[in-house]
Amino acid sequence: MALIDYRDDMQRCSRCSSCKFIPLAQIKSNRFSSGCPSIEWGKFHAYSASGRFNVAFSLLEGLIPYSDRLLDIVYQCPVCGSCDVSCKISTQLEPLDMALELRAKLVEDGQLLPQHMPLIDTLRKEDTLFTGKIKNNRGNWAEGLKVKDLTTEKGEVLFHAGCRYCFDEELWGVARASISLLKGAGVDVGILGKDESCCGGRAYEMGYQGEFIKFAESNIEAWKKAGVKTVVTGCSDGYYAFNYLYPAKSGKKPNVEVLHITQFMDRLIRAGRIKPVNSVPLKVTYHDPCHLGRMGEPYIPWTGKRAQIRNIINVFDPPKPKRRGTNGVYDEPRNVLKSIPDLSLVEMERIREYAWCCGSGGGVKESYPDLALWTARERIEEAKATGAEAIVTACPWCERNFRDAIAVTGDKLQVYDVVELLHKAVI
Amino acid sequence: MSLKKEVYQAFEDIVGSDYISDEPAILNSYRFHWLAEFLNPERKRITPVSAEAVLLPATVEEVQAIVKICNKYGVKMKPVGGGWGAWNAVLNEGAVQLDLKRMDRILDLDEKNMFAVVEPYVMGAELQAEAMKKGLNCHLIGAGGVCSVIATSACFLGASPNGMYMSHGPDNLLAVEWVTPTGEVVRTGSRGCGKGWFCSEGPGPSMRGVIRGHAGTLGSFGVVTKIGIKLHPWPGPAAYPIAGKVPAYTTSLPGNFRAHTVQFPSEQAIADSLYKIYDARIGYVIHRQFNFYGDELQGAMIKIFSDSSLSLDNLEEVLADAEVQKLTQEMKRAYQIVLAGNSIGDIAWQENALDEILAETGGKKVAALDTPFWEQFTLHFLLKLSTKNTNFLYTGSFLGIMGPVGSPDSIVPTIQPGEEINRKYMSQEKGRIANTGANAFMGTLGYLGGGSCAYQEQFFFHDPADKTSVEQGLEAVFEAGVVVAQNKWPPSPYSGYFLTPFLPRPVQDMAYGMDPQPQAYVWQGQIREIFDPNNIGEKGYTYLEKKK
Repeated sequence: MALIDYRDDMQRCSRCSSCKFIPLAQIKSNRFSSGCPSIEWGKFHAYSASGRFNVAFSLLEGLIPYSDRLLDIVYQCPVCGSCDVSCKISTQLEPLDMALELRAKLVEDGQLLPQHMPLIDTLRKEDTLFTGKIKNNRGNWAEGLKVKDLTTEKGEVLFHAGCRYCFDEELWGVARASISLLKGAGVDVGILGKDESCCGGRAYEMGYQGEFIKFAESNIEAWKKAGVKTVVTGCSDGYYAFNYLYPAKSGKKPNVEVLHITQFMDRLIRAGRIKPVNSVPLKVTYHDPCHLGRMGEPYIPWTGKRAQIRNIINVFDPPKPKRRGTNGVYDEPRNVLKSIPDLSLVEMERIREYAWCCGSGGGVKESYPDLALWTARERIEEAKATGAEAIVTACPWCERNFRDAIAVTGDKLQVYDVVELLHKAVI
Repeated sequence: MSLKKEVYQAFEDIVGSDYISDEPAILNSYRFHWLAEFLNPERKRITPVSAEAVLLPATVEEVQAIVKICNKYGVKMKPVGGGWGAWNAVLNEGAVQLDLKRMDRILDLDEKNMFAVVEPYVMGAELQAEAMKKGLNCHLIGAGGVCSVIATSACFLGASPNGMYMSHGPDNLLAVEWVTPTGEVVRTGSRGCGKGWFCSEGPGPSMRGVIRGHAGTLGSFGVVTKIGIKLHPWPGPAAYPIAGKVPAYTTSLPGNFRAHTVQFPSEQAIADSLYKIYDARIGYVIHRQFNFYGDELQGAMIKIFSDSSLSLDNLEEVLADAEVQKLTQEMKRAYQIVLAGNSIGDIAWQENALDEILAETGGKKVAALDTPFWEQFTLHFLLKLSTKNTNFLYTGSFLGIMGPVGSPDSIVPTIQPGEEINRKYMSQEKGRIANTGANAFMGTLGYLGGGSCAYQEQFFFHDPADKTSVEQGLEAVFEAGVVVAQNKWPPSPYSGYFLTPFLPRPVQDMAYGMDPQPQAYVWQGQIREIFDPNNIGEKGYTYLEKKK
């Protein structure tokens, strides 16, 4: 759907402001009631999902011009989907999809955020958004692991590291631990190394839908050539791209099973192929990555149309599957943590489908670093309020942003990936 | 028309450059409101005018300074909290909007004396969550937990499903900190004499009526920057239990909470039962809630809300279910009641009292909803009021007609005319009002002082993206207004009547002049002249022009 297809819904937003909060029923305190980093940062109503409905309608009606402020309003948002979950408690509007189409329209109309230019340029040249990095170095994280090269061999399972793990050396350990655990469990796993490409998901979120489609097509072709049955990734953004964006938005459905590494690990633990035996005495709290949790629901194909019944009640015919965060990946990471001896898990107030975002997504980490760090600091405060010694997540973007935030504040809270802790418990 | 440079600069000097804007993208986002479609000649959901600037003050001092600048330069202003409804918008040319989002703190929660002190952007759901930790609860306006506590007690209406136990919104108002339209800071009640926030009255004449006016002044009479608000007993767990999967959240409250849908043979029998309930002093929440979705659809709708695999798209198939059809019949002429007991004996007594009342009035509990699952669903719906924006699910908008506030008996005669109006618009050829069943009356059945009176509004659902639908909605509102006037029923503050402050002055004068007590609106006009001599209050203040 294009932005114009949401025009009527833009008028059906009643400005109830639910989009600014986590689902009201889940509010446990005044301090941690908000769900939307954008409105908490920007303050003016335009920075909320409702506000963006208004901005989009105003643009379509020719009521407002493009401006730098308008670009800020659109892009100072990690497209985390919190507004989408809260809005859909009671409506059938699509704030997240509309926000993404608004970005696509800006790009289509040549209204490009200057901060995006170097990222897109690098993406086109080096198959990654990481400026200053080159494709040839993409496989360096796996040096010495003796993992199968799926460009020359066949395999069952492809491990997609993702741009963050490939180019953020400080986080290489997590990707390496993933391979070590998979191989140790007897999984026939391989990687594409320097021939791996970006998933394209971030480009989609920034409005560059054409670029995204190229990466979708290229990756699906690469998996087909490698003959793999399963693609597993440790990056939640990549999971979201493969699991949902590819079939939903590229027109190409990957003919593989897509799993996040925590889903795979949970499976292997249940099957007895991974045995966490070492004690890891740590009190942790788990941060649900947006792209794995509420946005991690599988894609369900649908073909139909809008209809009106009983004079004017607006429905979809046939009933359209709803993405409301109900079936995201929440339990598997927790199951993995709970399998680790002496690890204790305490929950933050905002979890699962109503988790507060880390602040990295949607191009915010690169384009508005202050907003990204502020968002992460808010989450760190919430983690500290549980008394946990560490915040654990399942996404390198979340981990990086939390680490960067703590580097600024000097907090003692430790940051781990689920796989890191499992690795400690196994090896 | 733009603000003069020196005026904009004066405002910027108060709040800082980050918290003021006159950028079109920012300004326009404050023009979209529920019911703006009725005020816009093109019937689009956008108000006819834009604010000249939006300001985000953080303190009462900043608000006071802003108001003084408004007086100095003759600039009108409209403060907004949660901001749900067209009355929150700037509707005059040349006005500024004060967005109170940065004033969002709960400043105190006094467990022993049972009150809290809040700023304008504290929402009911937030206060409720904090209060429950201390064994307390707060009044939530009928529109639900996403509404500002200050707005719903000091500034606008105040009816609530928990009015039975906690009374009307303004009855919960204790001391107030108010920036008057001329920029004085007035602290009323006990706060005014430096004794804290616990009492709304004195010294001197009560200011509550002045600040609120009739049904609230809708942000057009100064700015309320803090209030003390009453809290009430909560005989439930400190951590409210949530069960179920999004979006079909429910709860699992202990056995001292019960919830029933009780059905009656007639609207008169409903009224008869209410008097007995008031006398028996039972009920923590009492509301005609589910009927809001239309008497033909309410059974199907609660089924959809309770099942995370279903959505509105499944409405027709759910309606076709024989069990749902049976339930729908059983739910006609019904309301919901929540009982909360402080002990096992207490809840048992309340249950027995309810059973006796039902026997005396020909009512009965809807058996299909008297299961543990549906009791918890109903408890959650009415105690948390966290899904009240399902009002917008069908079409993106709705409005109510009829809706007098009064004794239960006085409401009965309004039901049939309300049904006739709805039926007419729903069934006409090319009808663009949702066909939900003629009776979509919803209302809070316990009101001032807890019990004592009720109100019920007949709801209809129009689509703001459909011009014909909006026009038919407006026709229905005016038609209902004529029926109310012809029968000399008191105009309701809850129906289309709350659009009246935004209509042309002659229409307002005609509407308020029809009230059985028009003098009250004349006095209100005189109060307004005294407190707002420079006329900086934006539209929303209800008054009658004094006849010369």
